[in-house]
Amino acid sequence: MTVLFRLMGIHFKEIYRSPEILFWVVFFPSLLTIGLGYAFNQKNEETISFAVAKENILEERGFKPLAPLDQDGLLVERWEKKTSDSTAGKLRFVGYIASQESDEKILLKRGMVQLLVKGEKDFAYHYDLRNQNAKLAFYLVRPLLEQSKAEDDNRIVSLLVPGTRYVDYLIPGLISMNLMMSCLWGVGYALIEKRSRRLLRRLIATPMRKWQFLLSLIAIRWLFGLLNVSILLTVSYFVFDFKLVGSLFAFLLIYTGAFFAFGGFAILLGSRTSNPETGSGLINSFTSPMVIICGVFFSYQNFPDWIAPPLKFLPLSLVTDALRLIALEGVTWGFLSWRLLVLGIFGVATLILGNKIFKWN
Amino acid sequence: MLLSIKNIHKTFKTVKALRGVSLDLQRGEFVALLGPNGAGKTTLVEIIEGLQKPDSGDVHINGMTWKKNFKDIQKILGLSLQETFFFDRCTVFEVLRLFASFFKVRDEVVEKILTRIGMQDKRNAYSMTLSGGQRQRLALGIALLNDPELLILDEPTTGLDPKARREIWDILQELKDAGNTTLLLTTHYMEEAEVLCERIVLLDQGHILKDQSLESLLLESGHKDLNEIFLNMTGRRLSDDSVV
Ligand SMILES: Nc1ncnc2c1ncn2[C@@H]1O[C@H](COP(=O)(O)OP(=O)(O)O)[C@@H](O)[C@H]1O
Ligand SMILES: [Mg+2]
Repeated sequence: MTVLFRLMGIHFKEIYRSPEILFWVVFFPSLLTIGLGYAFNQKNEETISFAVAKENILEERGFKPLAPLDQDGLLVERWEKKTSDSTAGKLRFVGYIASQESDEKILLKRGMVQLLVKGEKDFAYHYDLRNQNAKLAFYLVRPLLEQSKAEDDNRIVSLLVPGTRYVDYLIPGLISMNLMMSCLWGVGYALIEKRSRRLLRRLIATPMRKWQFLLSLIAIRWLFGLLNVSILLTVSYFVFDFKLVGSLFAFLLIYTGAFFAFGGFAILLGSRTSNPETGSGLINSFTSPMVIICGVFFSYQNFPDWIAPPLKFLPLSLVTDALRLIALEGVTWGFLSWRLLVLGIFGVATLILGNKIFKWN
Repeated sequence: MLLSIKNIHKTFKTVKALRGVSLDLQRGEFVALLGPNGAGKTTLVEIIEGLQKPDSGDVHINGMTWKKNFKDIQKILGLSLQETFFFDRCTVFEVLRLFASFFKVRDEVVEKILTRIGMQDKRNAYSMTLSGGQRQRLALGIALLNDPELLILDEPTTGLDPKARREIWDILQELKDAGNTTLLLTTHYMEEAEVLCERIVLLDQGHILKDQSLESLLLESGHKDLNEIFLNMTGRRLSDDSVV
């Protein structure tokens, strides 16, 4: 026991004494939450941009001219209209006047607009169907321009009920992403770095047991992770009125399961190389795809049918979905137990394999 | 006999690092394993330390083998690796205390070791801020925590300036005078071997060239120093910077 506590003490000191720690544990998650949350918070004004060929239609619809945009060889007029109602929230429409086709292309290429409106009376709307933002712009711009075609057909009602907003969806995802990162970098990369400096080799030439070292690394990250998650939840509560619907105990249980599974993956990924560059490549190649395909930012149900079902068994999906169920729906046991079980299996499998191929020397 | 190794062979892919090395150490001996870079010194001592496995051959420490008496050997063995870094942002004292906990050694011992390696004034310095010589002294302090019967040091002074080197030698000399320790030390500095050890083992390309006392080696060869002897036997130099 003394050995384990001493090891944890050493890791703890190493972490809290490093200057980056404040950034990674406190600022980064808070900034990420606030930044992303704000970007998707419908309480704020949402800007919808589009391009038209002539300004007369905009003038007719009550748009006001803005200062023209002059940037990198592009000079275009801009018109603006703000709307606000109880259902759609605050909207700001910006119409760019692309008098030439070349202007349209540049506006699209620079991401300034994602929707082109062509024609004088019978409008044609050009946009990339796969682009969610463009689709949204289409649904919002169309009733505005085609006033005659009953606006009520196209009513858009913004979801502002806590628990159903995008930011509510996002926060559990950010938490699970943070857990994964903290394990893989805090444990996996730490192992590689300590191996590269021959510290692992020195340690095993003592009566210290190997499991004591690995456990102490994970345990310390578990503790720091608690701090990290508390900050995330607190920031989310105050900034977005985000509340945990389900039980804190269930949340902690999944949190711990996540550490078990990700700790295992960290040990596996950190088991052999002594080259920190190879190591960070390895860790990145594990985490980057997971962040995209595991439902952190958008549901993996958006992927084709044949691939979505297996995605829910990936470790990050398991954790993200479970945290979301607890946080938003208050689900406790039914849908969590199998996820906990699979996380456990991942943990055991990676630990066994990692231990087998682990290079202490 | 405290240490007995017989006919050790070790090959890395194409490199034959050790080709049949045998060596016996009596209790209380201070022995220098002297050889140029790549001679196989590190491979040999790490096999003795149980950190590498030989392809063939036996290692007995106080009659015990790594396979059967892993824990008992660890209790009587102290070692420092060729180059180690410790926990960057932990102090000298914290690092020593951590290793002390592995050996179930009390804090008083840690204090004694700090004094012995002359680092009481550095006890609160982060290990990342230590100079090469201080780091080697810390490594030596860790090696001494369990009051080892057999102490194995791999190039404890390589890359250090003469003053730092002498500080290490002084600590080892005190150990020798106390007479409770057996030392096997690798080096490519002739002077280190001459100052500390009465017995010299010359290792080159995985072979032991010579294993005898310093005097008899000098007498027999008719040369003034070990560098010349080595040059004469192999046509190569022991090290490029052996002038201390
Ligand atoms: N892990 C290894 N893989 C491949 N070759 C190695 C390894 N360790 C040592 N060698 C080779 O074995 C030889 C002896 O190395 P070493 O024991 O480190 O020599 P010394 O410590 O005397 O400088 C060298 O040629 C070295 O390149
Ligand atoms: Mg060496």
